[in-house]
Amino acid sequence: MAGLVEKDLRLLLQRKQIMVAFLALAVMLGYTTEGTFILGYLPILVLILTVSTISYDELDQGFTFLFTLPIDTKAYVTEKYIFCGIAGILSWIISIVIYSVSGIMRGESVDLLSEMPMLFSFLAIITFMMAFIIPIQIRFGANGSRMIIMVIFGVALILVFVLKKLLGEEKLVAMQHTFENISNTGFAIIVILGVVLSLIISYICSFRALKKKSL
Amino acid sequence: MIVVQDVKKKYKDFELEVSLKVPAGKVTGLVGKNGAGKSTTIKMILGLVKPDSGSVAVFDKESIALTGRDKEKIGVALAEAGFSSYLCVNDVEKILRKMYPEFDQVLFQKKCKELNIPMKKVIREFSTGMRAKLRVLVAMTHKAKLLIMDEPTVGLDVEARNEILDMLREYLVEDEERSILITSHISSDLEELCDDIYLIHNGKILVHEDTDVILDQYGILKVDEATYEKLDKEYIIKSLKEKYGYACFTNQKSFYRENYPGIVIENGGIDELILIMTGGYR
Repeated sequence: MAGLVEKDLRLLLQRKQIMVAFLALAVMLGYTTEGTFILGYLPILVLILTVSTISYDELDQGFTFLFTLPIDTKAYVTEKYIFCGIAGILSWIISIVIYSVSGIMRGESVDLLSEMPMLFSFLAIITFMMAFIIPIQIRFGANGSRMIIMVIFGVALILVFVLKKLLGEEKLVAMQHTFENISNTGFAIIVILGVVLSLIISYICSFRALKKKSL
Repeated sequence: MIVVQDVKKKYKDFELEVSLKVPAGKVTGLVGKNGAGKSTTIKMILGLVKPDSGSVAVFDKESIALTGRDKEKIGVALAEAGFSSYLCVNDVEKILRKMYPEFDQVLFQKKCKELNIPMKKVIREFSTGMRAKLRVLVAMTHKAKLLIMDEPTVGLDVEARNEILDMLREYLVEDEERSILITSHISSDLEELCDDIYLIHNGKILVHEDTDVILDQYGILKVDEATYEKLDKEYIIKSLKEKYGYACFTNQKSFYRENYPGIVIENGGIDELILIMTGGYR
């Protein structure tokens, strides 16, 4: 596992110019853009970068060679989630720092404690995205996964549109009220359970996708 | 070290049926044309492809169940696959250090220097020879008990080929229990290195023989039709019709030399073995 982490870190470092550019852009955007944009921007870019290590692994029959090394599919999949997860959390923390410092520099009062639910909801969104992207990337590769993700988003948009039409305005407002009535603790529990469940399903899908891959 | 027993694997347009053994302390060659089944056999041995039936054991363990610990004792060089070409050799060294507890960093650096492999250049800028040397070096610097080399010298000039063969010889000298399974198109490599040879064609093993026996006893008899009719064919493995009569491949050329003193007998090497047995002899 340590060897895989080392490999992914070194693959990431091959793109250090892009990473520095992303970070510089994040600092600039954090300072010039009011609101929470930066909290999603940086972690998502980092997630895309870290997940792209799967494409590097796959290039030039890379998977075939990789599994001749002392690793197995379980170790590979586990390492990807740990690597992307840690990178996601670190970038989320950095984005909070940029968000706070930018706020202070603009003369705003920053109360992180009261903003905790909002901050953690960003972490949850990033984790959901990670759980969504990794198995698709493993199953369909770099080009295929781009297409699949676009198709899924397209289908999701159509579904939302159709649901909105089917349910009607009244039912949607009623649903919104139901969500609003859930206490913060209850909502947090639902989100945490959702995140854990999505990670478990995602891990199983990734593992199966890799097992089925012809090496 | 490796025992492949009655393995069968069926694909849409190809079927593999193989049995082979690589004993401890031996170098075994697997030869055959492109698409004969060499790479699939190697992938099965490494547990990357599951056979439909039969068994593949490495270190007395089913290859599909090989753990990371088991794989630490195997060094693999594949023909067209290796570490990401976006990495440099320095990166590869650091990864191997983390990957293999027995990785010999001093040997790795020493060999890189000797073989003129640049440490800081990314692999995608390497020449074919440099890539091949790096692949072999990666496989043999963690004190593996077993090396599996798929075409390690393909596309190389004579100098680079000799460097790789020297590396393999050094590796064998260090520990006489070490084994190598090697595939190659270059017969001279195999003749110099291998103790025994398996010839695979259309997914089946056609011949298994000690290299010395192939070089000493195998030969091609070139006879006209009249001589062919009278010839004792007990030791003829295969005959091919030629313009002058017949080319007969034998595994007992001394028998024919003694009993048919007038006929032309050419030495049969691995190239001739492959060509005659797979129908490509001219």
